Amino acid sequence: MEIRMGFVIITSRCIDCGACMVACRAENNVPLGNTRNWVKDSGVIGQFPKVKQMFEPGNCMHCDEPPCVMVCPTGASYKRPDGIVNVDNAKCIGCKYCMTACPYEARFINAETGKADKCTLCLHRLQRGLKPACVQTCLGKARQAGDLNDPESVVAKLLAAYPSRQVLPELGTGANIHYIDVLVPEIPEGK
Amino acid sequence: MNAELPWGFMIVIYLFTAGLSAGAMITSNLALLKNREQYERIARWGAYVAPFPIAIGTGMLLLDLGSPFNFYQLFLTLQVRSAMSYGSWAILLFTLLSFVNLYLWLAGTLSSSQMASSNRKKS
Repeated sequence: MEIRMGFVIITSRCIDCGACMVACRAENNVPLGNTRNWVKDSGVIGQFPKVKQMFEPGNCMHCDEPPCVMVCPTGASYKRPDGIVNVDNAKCIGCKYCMTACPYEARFINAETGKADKCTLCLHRLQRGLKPACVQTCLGKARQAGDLNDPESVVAKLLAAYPSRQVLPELGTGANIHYIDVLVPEIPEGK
Repeated sequence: MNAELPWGFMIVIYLFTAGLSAGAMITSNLALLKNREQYERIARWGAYVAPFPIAIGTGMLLLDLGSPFNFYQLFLTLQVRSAMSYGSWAILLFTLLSFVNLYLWLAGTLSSSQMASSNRKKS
């Protein structure tokens, strides 16, 4: 089966330390004031004494049907055969149409390059057999990335074992960050 | 989610100037079609006005780009699913057309006296 790269994020394991944001910034030289990934905070849910709080890390969802790729007037935004949505800087004119189209607000204009900027799933690291910087650094092991179609991968094993959800599934984007909200006591071994 | 658009004041100016140009062009040509002799002044001034607001608007569009010097990438391709791709080709063709129209009026090819004389020559 063809490769389909994506993330599995276990919200119950996220402690909102922000290490993924720091690692991404350091790895990809993201300018200050912008970020390629984030941690959303639900705030306090419920009434004392039954309260809880949830953190939802995120970044580009590398959608199956990416709206940003559809609207790009020059073809600079493209989807690779392995599912990674990327920007070709040589073609990008910085028109911001993709930023308007993205329902997850995963994109910004990099003021240093004048191009649309977003998560690349750390393509340069994947090519060397490394994990993305945010996944590597995540101390709760909340962030996992890999080939969703490969049954031997960590992400596929997690998705098979636990219920998951996507953000804004009603838009039909086929977002490839799958969130697991239930407790995951142990991360399975795998690629 | 944040409802704010990344497009700002430059795009507002562009939309206004593009509307101005399109309006001038449409008025000019409708006047020609309706009654050439009676409305020639309207048609002439419409043609005189049309090319310039859109030229300013296009300049604003360029300034709004993150990489203005890369704008030519728009005209190396037609992305069938991108409204902006159609739009950029439409602006290019409209601006060229409006300048051709202006030239024809300045050269007198479209004015009624010229037409009348050329008709007379034929008969």
